[in-house]
Amino acid sequence: MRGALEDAARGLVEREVLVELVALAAVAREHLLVVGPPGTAKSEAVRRAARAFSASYFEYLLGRFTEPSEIVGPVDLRKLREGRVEVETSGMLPEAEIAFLDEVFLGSTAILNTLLGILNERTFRRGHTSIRVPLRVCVAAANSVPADEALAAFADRFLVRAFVEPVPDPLLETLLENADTLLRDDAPRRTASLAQLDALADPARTCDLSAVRPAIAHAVRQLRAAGVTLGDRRIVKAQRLIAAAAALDGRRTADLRDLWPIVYVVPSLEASAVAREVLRETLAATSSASLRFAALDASAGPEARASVLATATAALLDAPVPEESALRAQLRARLEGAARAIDAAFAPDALPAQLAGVRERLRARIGAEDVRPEGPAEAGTAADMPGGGEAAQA
Amino acid sequence: MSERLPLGWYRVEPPPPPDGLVAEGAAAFALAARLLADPTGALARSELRGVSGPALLVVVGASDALPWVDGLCYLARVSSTPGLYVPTWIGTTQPPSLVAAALVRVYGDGPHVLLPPLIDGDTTRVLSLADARPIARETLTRWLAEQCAANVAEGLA
Repeated sequence: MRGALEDAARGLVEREVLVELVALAAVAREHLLVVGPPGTAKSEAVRRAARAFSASYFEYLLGRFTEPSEIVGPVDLRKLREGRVEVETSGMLPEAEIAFLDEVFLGSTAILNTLLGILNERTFRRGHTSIRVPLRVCVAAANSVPADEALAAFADRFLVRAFVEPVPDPLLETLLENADTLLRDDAPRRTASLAQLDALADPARTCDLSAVRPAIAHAVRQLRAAGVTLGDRRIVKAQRLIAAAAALDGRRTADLRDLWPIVYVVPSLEASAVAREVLRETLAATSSASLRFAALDASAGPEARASVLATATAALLDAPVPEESALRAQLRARLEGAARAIDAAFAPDALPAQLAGVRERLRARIGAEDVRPEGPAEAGTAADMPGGGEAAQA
Repeated sequence: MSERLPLGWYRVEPPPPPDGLVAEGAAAFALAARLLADPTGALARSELRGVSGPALLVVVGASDALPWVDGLCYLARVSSTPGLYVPTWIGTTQPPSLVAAALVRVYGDGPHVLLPPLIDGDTTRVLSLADARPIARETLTRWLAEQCAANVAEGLA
């Protein structure tokens, strides 16, 4: 499953967290609200997550005038002639295993009421049609969290919150390089099955949380002290995400490593930033073997950070060496960037074991590609570089 | 009356991206060689500023422009106190603004680089960036040559 998620996110920049949160929400049988501006690859990330699990997928852009039939299907006219109101749901939301609803808060009351039943009870009812929907996770997207009370109540049905921003400046080149990957769909990707996700739902549901409940309560108190208030339902349901994190890592008992999903139940972007700051120490020891990026994003803890760095650097080291000198120079620059990221992130005496081996490979590889200056160094006058400053003892 | 306050350090989580680096000894020579070897790199684009000393280079610049060789110590400019640089993974237990002000009083205008003791018994070291200038290829080449000559002279002594 780890491989399927990695391949799903391949080519996307800074959207690994979103792909992983889809998996987390699916195992926890909760739903995900993604808040961010248009054109930030929200739907692409969800689409890829659905493909990664070979799930039937439904996607729709809601508008103010969207009719319920556009998302649940039209009334079956043949049955209507027989006096029965039944809905033809083939290929529509009630038959989807993963769904993406863009601009969800633009939907009418009729749309939102229809969605409530599907989201809460995983049941679609209309007229004589009453079916259990196979929906594992519904991902909704919006430009902002609604202030309107009625819409906020609907938004509260989406336990997991993710906030996305446009790609930051340092990654713009990567975004442009990866554009080909976004447009092509022919690169082979590892997949998992929905059955694998489903197989985790039961361990998640029965996960033993007794060891972490005190830590969860402590975290909630810390958040309240910082002015971040979570509703009781959100607090209770956060346990499902923690249990899902443990299940995804193959454990039936949650421990302190699994606390990181707490950050993703905080409902607003500003509160989410406060939560990360306030819970920094509490979440320092958290990590996830399956959802590395999400755990790192939540905790920014050293273990999670080391895990992501180690994986990214190993992938860079295993990439084929290009023949063309310009591309080799580019690879060299990326290798140096990886080494810089590692050395800037950890003191030499605090380098995690999982990074030490990777760093040594990196050092050897860069050393092997080192290019010496042409010609001997010239002997010059004894003058320092402009601005020579002397080291002094404090 | 003045009172001495001990300067303490704590681990920063998460470490910020680097804004500079310190290279000493073999790392400094390797750094100079690396910068000179890259004809289109940060040196050529004048993206780096620095100061030097005997077997010592201090370089500041944008994160992406900073080179890497083994043995460097990356520095971050303290966000609340731009006149103070410390290693990326630590912060001072005393308020950075007080520390920076004290450094200016004792060592003159900054910015300053503050390096903690590497081992017990060592002292905290201060490096001044007041005279930092854009690093020129010619002067870096000259510095490297001087360091090599000094090493040779030391070896022969």
